[in-house]
Amino acid sequence: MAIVIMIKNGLASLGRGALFFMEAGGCVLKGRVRWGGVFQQIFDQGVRSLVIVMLVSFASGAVLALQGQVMMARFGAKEFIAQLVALSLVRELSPVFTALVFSGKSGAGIAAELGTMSVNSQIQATRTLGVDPVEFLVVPRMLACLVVLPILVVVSELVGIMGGYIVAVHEANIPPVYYVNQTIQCIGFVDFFCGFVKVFFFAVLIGWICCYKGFFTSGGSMGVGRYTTAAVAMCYVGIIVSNTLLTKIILTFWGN
Amino acid sequence: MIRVRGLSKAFNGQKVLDGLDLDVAAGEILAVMGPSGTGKSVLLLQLIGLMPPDEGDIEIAGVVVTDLAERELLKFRRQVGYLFQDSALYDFMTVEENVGFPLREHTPARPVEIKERVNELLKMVDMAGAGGKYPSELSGGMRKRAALARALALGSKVLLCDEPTSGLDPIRSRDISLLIRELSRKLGCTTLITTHDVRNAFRTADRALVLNQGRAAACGPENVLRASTDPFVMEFLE
Repeated sequence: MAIVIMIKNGLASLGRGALFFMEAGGCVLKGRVRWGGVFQQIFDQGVRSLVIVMLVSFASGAVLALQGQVMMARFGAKEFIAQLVALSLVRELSPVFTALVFSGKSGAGIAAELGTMSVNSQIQATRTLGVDPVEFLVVPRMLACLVVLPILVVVSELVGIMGGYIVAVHEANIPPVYYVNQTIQCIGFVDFFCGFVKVFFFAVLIGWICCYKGFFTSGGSMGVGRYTTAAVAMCYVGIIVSNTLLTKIILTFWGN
Repeated sequence: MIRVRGLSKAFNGQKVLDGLDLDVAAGEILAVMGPSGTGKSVLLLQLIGLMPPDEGDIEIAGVVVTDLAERELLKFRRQVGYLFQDSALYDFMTVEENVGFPLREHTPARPVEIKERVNELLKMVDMAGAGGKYPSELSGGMRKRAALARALALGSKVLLCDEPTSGLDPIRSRDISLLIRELSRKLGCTTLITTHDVRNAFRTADRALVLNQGRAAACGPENVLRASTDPFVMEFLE
């Protein structure tokens, strides 16, 4: 019985979420976009996540190179560390890690901001002032996610490759020029494209979940904490599960 | 100016408003009183179209609010000022930006003209010089004043105030009540206030309506209500 109720509530919530997404999408399609708000959000969200994304990416690239050095030496393929680092980051790690970090920093920020506005009647006040709160508060945040996350992923890839380079050159004694050349040669358009398909999907997912949860927050300050946590948890699950499906689809069509 | 007929609203089968009728003449100030949970805030939310009624009609300034679609409601709300119980100022904007927000959104005024109008509004609510502060830097009374200035920014002829004195000390409550009365008179606003603060309700309003179980238990000026023999009204006013 409890499971039936849970499923019913889950489906009802999904339906409300879909309507909310369509409302925001409708604003964009009708050109009701506040570009000033979008640029402000791009700046806010970018600044929030940039440093932590760089740290995580640098560490990921460095660890890949450290592990690669040990493992690939077993097969006498130490010179392929550059390819291992670059392809792992571009195709898989940077999009996923950056999306996870972005959910935890900027996504949580979006949910908490909108949640606080919701419990303090500021969203209702927007309506009483004759302004559509979805157009004013939600659309700029969702569009900013679409711009910021891909930029952060590019930064993550570059910083991650740099982390791998430092380890490969100083620990594995790979010649610097050789490492750079191998990195440039191994990344093809298709690798970049595979990563970016995922990034855009994750950006939509994070923007949607965090705005939706924040917009419909209730229950005072306790509610803000609960809804924000739920938003981040849903983003994490959504990113990891959808990444599996997207990877399978991408490999089916562009596997080579 | 405001006409309500047969307004009903129930939550989980429990009626909060039960066939309420209400008339407020142009320029009149009406206080809607009643204990917590008697549907005062629900009434205001329905008047401005933020909550649809289960039954009944609402007409404000000749517009049947209950017939409007969401986009039409957004346009209609520009004619009505709404003061929230918790002020609901945007915490990421300064007072000046908050008060100027409806002007930026709905008028073609240039930034200089908006600044002038904002200063005028802030002066009107005794907050001249506080425009650069953020809501978190203001006291409860000042936040109410700033929210009142924002509610009146577009020159609305209808003002709805939800518990304007809640959370304020007796002196600030008196001040904000007198300010609402003074501005309503000066600007010719038709004003509806919900409150359970009897003393300030009579201080502000021309007439008061006492709600009991979603219905009007009594309505009239102070002397009429004080003379009521309805046990609930007598107990509430005591």
